[in-house]
Amino acid sequence: MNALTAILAIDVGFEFVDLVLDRGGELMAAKHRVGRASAAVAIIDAIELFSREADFEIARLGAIRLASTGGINALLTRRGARVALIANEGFGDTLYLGRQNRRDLFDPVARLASPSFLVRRSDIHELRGRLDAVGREIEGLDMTGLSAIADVIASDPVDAVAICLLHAHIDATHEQQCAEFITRRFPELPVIVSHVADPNPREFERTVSTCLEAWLRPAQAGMMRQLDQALAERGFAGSLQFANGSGQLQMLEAACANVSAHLTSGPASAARHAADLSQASDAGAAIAIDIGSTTTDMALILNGKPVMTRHLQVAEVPLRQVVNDVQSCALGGLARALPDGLGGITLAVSNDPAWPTLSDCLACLGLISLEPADDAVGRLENLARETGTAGIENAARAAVIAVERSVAQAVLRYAVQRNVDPARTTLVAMGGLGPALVPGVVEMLGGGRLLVPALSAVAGAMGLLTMAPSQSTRIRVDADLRELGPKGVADCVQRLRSGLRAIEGGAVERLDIDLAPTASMHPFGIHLDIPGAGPETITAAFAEQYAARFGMAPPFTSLHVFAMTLTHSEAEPERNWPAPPENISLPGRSDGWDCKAVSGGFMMTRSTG
Amino acid sequence: MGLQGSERRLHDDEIDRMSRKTAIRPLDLDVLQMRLDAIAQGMQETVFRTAVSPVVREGADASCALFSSEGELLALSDAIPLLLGALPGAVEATLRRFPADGMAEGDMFCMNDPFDGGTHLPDIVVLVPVFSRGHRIAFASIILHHQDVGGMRPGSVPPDAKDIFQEGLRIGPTRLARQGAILPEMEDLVRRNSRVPDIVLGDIAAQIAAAQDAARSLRAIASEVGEAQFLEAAAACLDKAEQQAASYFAGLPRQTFQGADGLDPTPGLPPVEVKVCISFADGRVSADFTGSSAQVAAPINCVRSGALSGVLYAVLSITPPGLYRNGGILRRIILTLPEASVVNASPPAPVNARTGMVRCITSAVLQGIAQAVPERMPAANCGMSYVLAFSGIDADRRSFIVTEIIAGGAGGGPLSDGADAVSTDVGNAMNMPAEALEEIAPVRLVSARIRRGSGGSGRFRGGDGIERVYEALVDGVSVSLRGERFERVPDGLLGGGRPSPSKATIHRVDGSSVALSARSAFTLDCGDRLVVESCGGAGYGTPA
Repeated sequence: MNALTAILAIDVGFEFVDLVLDRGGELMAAKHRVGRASAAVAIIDAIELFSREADFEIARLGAIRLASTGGINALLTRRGARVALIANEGFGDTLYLGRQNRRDLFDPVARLASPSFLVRRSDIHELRGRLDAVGREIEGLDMTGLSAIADVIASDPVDAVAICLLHAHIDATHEQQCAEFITRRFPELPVIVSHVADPNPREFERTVSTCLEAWLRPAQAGMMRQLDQALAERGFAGSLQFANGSGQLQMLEAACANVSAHLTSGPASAARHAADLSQASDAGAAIAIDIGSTTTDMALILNGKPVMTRHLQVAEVPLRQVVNDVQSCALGGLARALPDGLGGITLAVSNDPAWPTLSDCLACLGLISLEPADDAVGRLENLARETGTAGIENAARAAVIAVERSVAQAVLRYAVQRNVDPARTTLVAMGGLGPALVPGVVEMLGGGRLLVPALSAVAGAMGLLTMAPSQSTRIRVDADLRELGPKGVADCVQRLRSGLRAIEGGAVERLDIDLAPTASMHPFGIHLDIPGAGPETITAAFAEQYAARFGMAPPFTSLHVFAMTLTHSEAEPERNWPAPPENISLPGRSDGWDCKAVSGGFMMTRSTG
Repeated sequence: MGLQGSERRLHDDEIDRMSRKTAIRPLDLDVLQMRLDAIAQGMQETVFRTAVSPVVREGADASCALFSSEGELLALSDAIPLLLGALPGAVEATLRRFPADGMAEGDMFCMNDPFDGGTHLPDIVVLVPVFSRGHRIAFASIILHHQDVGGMRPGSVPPDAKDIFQEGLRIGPTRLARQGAILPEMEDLVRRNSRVPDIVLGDIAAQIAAAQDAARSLRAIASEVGEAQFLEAAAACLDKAEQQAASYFAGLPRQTFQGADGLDPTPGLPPVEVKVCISFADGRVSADFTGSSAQVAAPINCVRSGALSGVLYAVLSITPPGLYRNGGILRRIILTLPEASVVNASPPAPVNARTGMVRCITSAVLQGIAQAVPERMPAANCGMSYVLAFSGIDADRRSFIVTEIIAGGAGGGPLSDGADAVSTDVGNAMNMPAEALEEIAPVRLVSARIRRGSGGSGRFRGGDGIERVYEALVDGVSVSLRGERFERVPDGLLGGGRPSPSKATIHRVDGSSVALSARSAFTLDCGDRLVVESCGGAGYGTPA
């Protein structure tokens, strides 16, 4: 092994740790079960096992890159930190009021569409003190009240403190005062302030972002630090890098300071691999479908890159960040096939061992390489009996069709909401179950092209190999673009540059700007690859990107700039994925399809109607 | 077509339609209906992201739908159910005035007349025919609550209106655009009548953008399968929904269930009552509102679309999730609405505060339907939402208008407590964030809290309502408040308790207080505070 050049990419899912070792272009892959250990221990165990299998020394690795769905799984199972929230007087109910809309429009039992589980009611504290809409102080912060809140926290400890005060995105003074006080009292306690977690208007959304970061941070940052320490103990002196939801790699301290940005790192990494292969095979617009143990993740790829968004729902939690536009639904190999009460079959998250899992059904049909579990036959017989289906194979097939239909429905909604016709895109089948299920989804959608990566089962880890380390910094601007003028824009970029350290060999710069025709409209994010552009370039880019998204010109000619973010990335490595050998067997289904080896995988086209 | 079809008896042609064989496989129909639903939802995303006015951007007061080439509802967005019944009538009226066969690519139409398929005047409907390779394949339509369409008060929702003429500009089905360009005379009409024409025109542009989005997606499907096949499949989706609805209704008890509710008393007006008989027979649901009060000279009447929204919402809340949500269901709904009544007003009745009446209708219908499926239904929800509008001139001499909608509590049961502070039944508007309100208007949101203890008691308690406190930051802030349940609150179910009524109070800076009625128009001066409290939901079951 070349000293300190090999890269180990790791994607941690609910059931498996996926590993890919890149030794100067030579790839080795493995999947190891997570087991019951903590995430950091499971990762270390998997690395050690893989080091023996692949014959490498941990101490001689150049870099270890990590993506994980740990945060998503924590949200799905509602296991997070106990958080205390400090809010303005009169606004302690913000999280519980949500935006007052409900989750399911036609359920006669209304459920609020708010992730109120993030903070217990009794852990929310109101504090006097108020700013107005332009950040002027109307009432000073009540330090006596803050001291009393600290006393309550001291007597009934929490794992993290979230602070979200009105208009803090405009002026952070009150939040900073509050955070400094709490940190002095509780130096060990993570304190998350909203003007850092999500410096954007609308208090409910900002409160959610802040509480989510606090809810995730103790466990996620703890895992990252444990991993760093355990690797150091094993002599690892290379670079430990963590993927975030926008497909960038960050170092330990940056990652620990913003763990919610890493929430969707697993799906983002898989999307990155799908994008790499789509571009290499000229697949055009594509949708990556990654079907794993617990979730199905979708990601749109245009022009060879994953599409970005600034609004995402993850496990019913609204996420307001610039991330890959991935969407997940709770459907994976561990979902169980049950009678739907109408003579059909539905798939649901269930612990009832009487019903077969999706993996049982696929294994029974020989669509995945796993052997059926010992008691799978009994479960399938139960399903066949209860649904009046003749034989376990037919029951398994009916369950698989039900899943394909659900995935097709999810893909449809996802695609059409993004102005994309799924029948005209290439679907990319990823994850342990993707190759088995996505061909059926393509057929249901009326599509005709399917890309199956040769290493689809470890797609997330593969995606990590082409990511580049990056750093970014953000400033609030809150000014009219015309008033800002060329000098103002240049000053902003200069301020941003001064906040980033130099990257050896030069950096690729990307400027993201949040702006809207008026200050009260929803911000719309645009990006410029060559920062330093003036107001005219920004206006033109806004008009072009707005029209591309909404099919209309912006309603007014004015532009309000909310914020700017500058990202410095190392140059992304050029990868040329070889076509798989002709004799390699295609994972999953291939009946009714013409199959051709392409760069890094197989391009399949439907050969029958 | 549309609602007319729903009023017909089951004729031979309908039997043929429901049993006819189509070349489209059932699975393909599922996929097509999903795609149509997703396109409608995509339209809505576009509207919300591009709208200029806060009531749409923050409050989500808009709805989108697709219609067949013949004008029958094909797909609906997940929007405010209050608007569920709004679009079929508007499309039908527009097609009466502008027959579809005479339409060309690039044509667009609009209307807002409540008495010709609309709802109330701020809700302008935009209708765009969609063509693929020269064939008309569908219509895309969007209804959106515009910030101001003229009339006696800013915001065009005057709580003291006595007739429709005081409520604003009334537009019958009208051509909006030709060859994709808005007609100059239509833009001129908006500029001459609205207090905030740029906002209205900006929102109309958002409606058009959404329709054009939908047109692109529909064309993609049609070119993929062929226009003729698309039309056949769309018709089959409608037939299948009708079949599904008929099958479901046929399984419900063949009985007549009664429901009734009423609005708060208004000085000078007779009591306003809604009565409904719900029955299921011949695979249809019938809602007969005979016995409801005659229309009144106050803006609390609603028109036919409101009654349809209430009934359609109630039906969709009990039907199985797999049911296609399209006009096939409307074919199986029979509405009987007395003319010139509060549930089916005639000109020149004012209708701007129709929300309370639609909530009242929905409450009565849900009462009736709950008797047919008691195991699924909770106790009555708050049955109201506030519509609150602030307007005036700020310290920089700029005019402002901002509208927000405030929900109440959900009913308790059947298996858990009712949710606090949530939009229920035909409501689903979002609230106005303090940071958005304060950026737009010289009004401070002092507090926004759950109104604890306002839900009815019970084994499963009713959800609590909301309390919001506002402070004027300049003199002369005009306020229009439309609420309900100030006096008449719903009963609990199976021994559950009644919720606390709604309440609104002004606390003047001089120390005096004024208790407000359900529909009030008043002015706040700098430092004055307005406290708005919404009703909770009713309790379910005798408290332990």
